[in-house]
Amino acid sequence: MIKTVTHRFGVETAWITEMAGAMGGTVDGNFTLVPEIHTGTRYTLSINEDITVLLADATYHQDVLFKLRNTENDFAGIFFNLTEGESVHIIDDISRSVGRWDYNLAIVDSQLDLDYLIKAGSKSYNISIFIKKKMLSVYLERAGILEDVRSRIFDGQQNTIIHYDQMSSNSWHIINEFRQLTPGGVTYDLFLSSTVYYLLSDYLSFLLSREIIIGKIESGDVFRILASQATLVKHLNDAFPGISELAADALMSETKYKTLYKKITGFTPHAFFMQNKLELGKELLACKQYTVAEIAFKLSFTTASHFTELFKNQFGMLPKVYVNSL
Amino acid sequence: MMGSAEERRVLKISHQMSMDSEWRADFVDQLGARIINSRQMRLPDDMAEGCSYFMEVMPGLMVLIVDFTFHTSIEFTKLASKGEFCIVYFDLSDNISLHQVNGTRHQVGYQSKLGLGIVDAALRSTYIPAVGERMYSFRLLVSKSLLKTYFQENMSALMVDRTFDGRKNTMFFYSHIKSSTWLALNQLKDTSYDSPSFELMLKGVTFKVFGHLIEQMNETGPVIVRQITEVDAAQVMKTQAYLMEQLQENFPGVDLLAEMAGMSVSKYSDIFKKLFKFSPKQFFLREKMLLAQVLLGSGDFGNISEVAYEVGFGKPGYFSKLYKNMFNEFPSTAFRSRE
Repeated sequence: MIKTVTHRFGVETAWITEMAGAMGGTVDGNFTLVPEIHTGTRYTLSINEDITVLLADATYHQDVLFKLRNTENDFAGIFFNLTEGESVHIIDDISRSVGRWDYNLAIVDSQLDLDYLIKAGSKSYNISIFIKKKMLSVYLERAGILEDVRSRIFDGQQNTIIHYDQMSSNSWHIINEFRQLTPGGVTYDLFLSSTVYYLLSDYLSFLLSREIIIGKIESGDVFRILASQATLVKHLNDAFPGISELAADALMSETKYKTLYKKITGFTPHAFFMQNKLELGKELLACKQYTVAEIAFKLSFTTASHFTELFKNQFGMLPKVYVNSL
Repeated sequence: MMGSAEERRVLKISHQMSMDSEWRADFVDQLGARIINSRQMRLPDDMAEGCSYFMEVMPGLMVLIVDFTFHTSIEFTKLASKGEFCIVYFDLSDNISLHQVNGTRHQVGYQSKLGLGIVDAALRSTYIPAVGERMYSFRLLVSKSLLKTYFQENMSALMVDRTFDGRKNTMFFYSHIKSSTWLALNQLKDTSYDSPSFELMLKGVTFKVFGHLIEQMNETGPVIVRQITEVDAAQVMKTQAYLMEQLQENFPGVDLLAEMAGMSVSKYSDIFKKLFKFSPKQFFLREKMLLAQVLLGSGDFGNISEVAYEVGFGKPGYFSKLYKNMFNEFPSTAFRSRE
């Protein structure tokens, strides 16, 4: 039986009590206790008037479908997720799973609705930071992003802030160090605040290192792009299907498809596909059952030397050298 | 003649310290400092390169970085400042470092330092930074009312009141810098002030460092120095610094230390114990063992006995016993042999 929890997030903290109620639990200081749904820790802290953080270190006892329906449109959620295993599923508008949450970092505009399913038995560790858009804008301003660009980024009519990615190893280390601490205690909030600022600092450097794409996105389009990406991952052995086919499957024009793909994932579809193909090639090399030529053929490269060349570009060494280094 | 010429070249500045940015006015007025983007302050180019960085991290907690390479000698005097707050200093040269000691039986010695100090803003202090070297000092300004909130759980109301009320007590706390604080500060030191994420990172570092500080203070408790005069405290501090230079020798004896401080043995021992939580001899032994712990892990020695001799023990067995008492493990646990 699936429990449905409809809730909102925000920098202002009124949602905490509401969400505890929707999960059949209670609030005790910074802790939210929801024994029916999960054991572990659920802890919220308002760091200042612009930033609130939710920490969830939980083992789920039942399937829960979370329906995020924000009422405030003035913030973004930055979600760091250390959940292990196939436990979080993003659900599209007709309640189908569009695939596993392959990312451990997401930044999502408060104006987007999001549904996600967490399976019974999953263990998840999440740090969710809710930050006012105006605060993000201040940091982008200091980074030299022009007023014109900033106003378009934060204009809900023109742009939806959204990005799925893998967190940096630095962020991962920051979270893991924090994870060693026992919740509660006089210094816990100081270390949680520290962790949040470190993560924001790391995220900002990362954000500035990539191209900012302005565009308005509906929830449905987000699901279709993520579903399209999941399809690509399933077909790594084949040749690249081509933009026209991918765009048609996602019910979008080619231009729209390419733009949204890059905005959400940070890669062009082809670059993403190639990178994953080469990662797979690397894994196949590591198991030492196939020759380089066999792998190149298996992964539908036109020639072995083409595979070799791309492999070297990606990993800085020839496939043979890599095998010998193992 | 040389001396007077040197003296004339020393610039002098007296300044206030405050929880708001008012204190910078003294630097602007007396040295011609420039304020840049509300947080950074620079000195005239011929005086120094680098900057200071001042920011509020949360109500009652300010961070100040002083990062200059001075071209001229300047004597800074911090006047007794208004406001109920403390200044926490982190000296990144707090590690056990090799240095040349002339005229002793060791050509190379070890010097240890308590790199973390809390000074009540009500105290006056003077400092002349070295010329031509980068001076990097990380400081926190903490209001006593904020500090108090972190001790209420573990201290009686009376103790909290006595410790944090400026009329009854002058705050005092010295310790070693924790290694995680040390790493965080060193990472910060290498980050450009112009980096867009600098401010966020500085907040992350400050919360972390402040958290560690509260932990350390909760372990031992800040000291009440009621009835200790500033002069007496300074004299005793001097003997503590002397002890830190003598870690390879035998304990010099309380008589000698009291004489150095210019006070009676009983008064000296009493003040030392109030300031450092340990008797001079216990303090000395602890520092010796901390040095030994670093040396054991350094990989510079062939066996444990060599380390025992290095820190002035004639009998390695006795050394091992004391070491075990202090760290609850044998020296062999920390020991890394020379390759």
